[in-house]
Amino acid sequence: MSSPATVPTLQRPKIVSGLEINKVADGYIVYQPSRDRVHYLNHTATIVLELCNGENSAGEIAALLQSAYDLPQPPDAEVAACLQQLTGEGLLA
Amino acid sequence: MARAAGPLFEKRFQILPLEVSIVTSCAALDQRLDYLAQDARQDFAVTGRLQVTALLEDKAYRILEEGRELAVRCDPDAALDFLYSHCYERANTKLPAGTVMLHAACGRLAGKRFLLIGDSGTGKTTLILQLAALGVAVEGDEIAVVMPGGIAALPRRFHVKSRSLTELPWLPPGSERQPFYESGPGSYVFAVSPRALGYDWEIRHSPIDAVFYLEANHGGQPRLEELARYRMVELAMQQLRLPDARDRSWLAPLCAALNHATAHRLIVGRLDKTAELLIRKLAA
Repeated sequence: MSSPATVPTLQRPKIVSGLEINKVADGYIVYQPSRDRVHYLNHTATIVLELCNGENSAGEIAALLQSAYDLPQPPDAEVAACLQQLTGEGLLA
Repeated sequence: MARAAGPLFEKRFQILPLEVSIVTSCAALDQRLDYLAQDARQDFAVTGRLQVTALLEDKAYRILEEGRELAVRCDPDAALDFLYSHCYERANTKLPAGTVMLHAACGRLAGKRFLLIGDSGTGKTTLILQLAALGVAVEGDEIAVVMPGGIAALPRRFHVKSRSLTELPWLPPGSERQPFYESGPGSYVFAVSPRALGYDWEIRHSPIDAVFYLEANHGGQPRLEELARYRMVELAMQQLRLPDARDRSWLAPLCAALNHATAHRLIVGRLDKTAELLIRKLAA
């Protein structure tokens, strides 16, 4: 699993523009016209993506998730992995 | 060249918004056209009409639309092939933007409309006919048309493979005399109208309440598993007939249609047990 240090471009990640986001009950179906690709995001990835507004750092996103789900610790590693995956898919800048 | 005088035969039927009339001077072709024509009642306003004539001249079929020649075919089977494609392609052009075709059978039970999504060979046709025998209202066996505002089965006779007849022993005598084509040596596909089997056949255009993604385990134990909606969309995407690979205007209607339905994976085992499992789930 990667650490936040391996994704230096994600200081304050922001969802790229031009995505077509379709909401379903437990996730997102995201169409990326620039790559003509469809992405299927589960509930967790959906929430992380929602929080990528260019204002939250990875640590702040983890803290928000800790608060929202009443977690004992901020899920730093999980958030970092998710951000790395979303970035790799070209959904974050 | 003037057409030889003789009787004309006509087939009339509806493919969702398209009303079709095919007139031919050839009794053999008219008989073949039973494979294409169907008698489903359809909850769909007619917005277009297609009038085609197929004239047998000099041992060839000259196919015309409003006097304009579309094609010439040398035998009735080839003429049927052309007309089959032409009618459905023309119907597609009358469907709203954002429409996409999905490999799925469709039916209704206990006030719930459902889809059985699956690849060829997963048993959509045999399962939906088995369900019909158990009182389920059937709409389609192969293609569901996903449109903004709802889903409709593509009006098409159910295509029963000859090897499937052994799985449907309750089919009344004479079912094998339904229109057919030879799909290979000793292998046939019968085009069966549910109404010819004594069942109602009404195709609706409305939302779907439950979606089942079929995976084959023929002869084994059937099983149902809940699926996340986003996973169902992902699986359904593998069963689409895409009108244009670069046009994704259908994605939002597809997501909306599947989002309002419960989603399940159905492992298709023994036909009777699978049908019972499905009915129990729908009736719950």
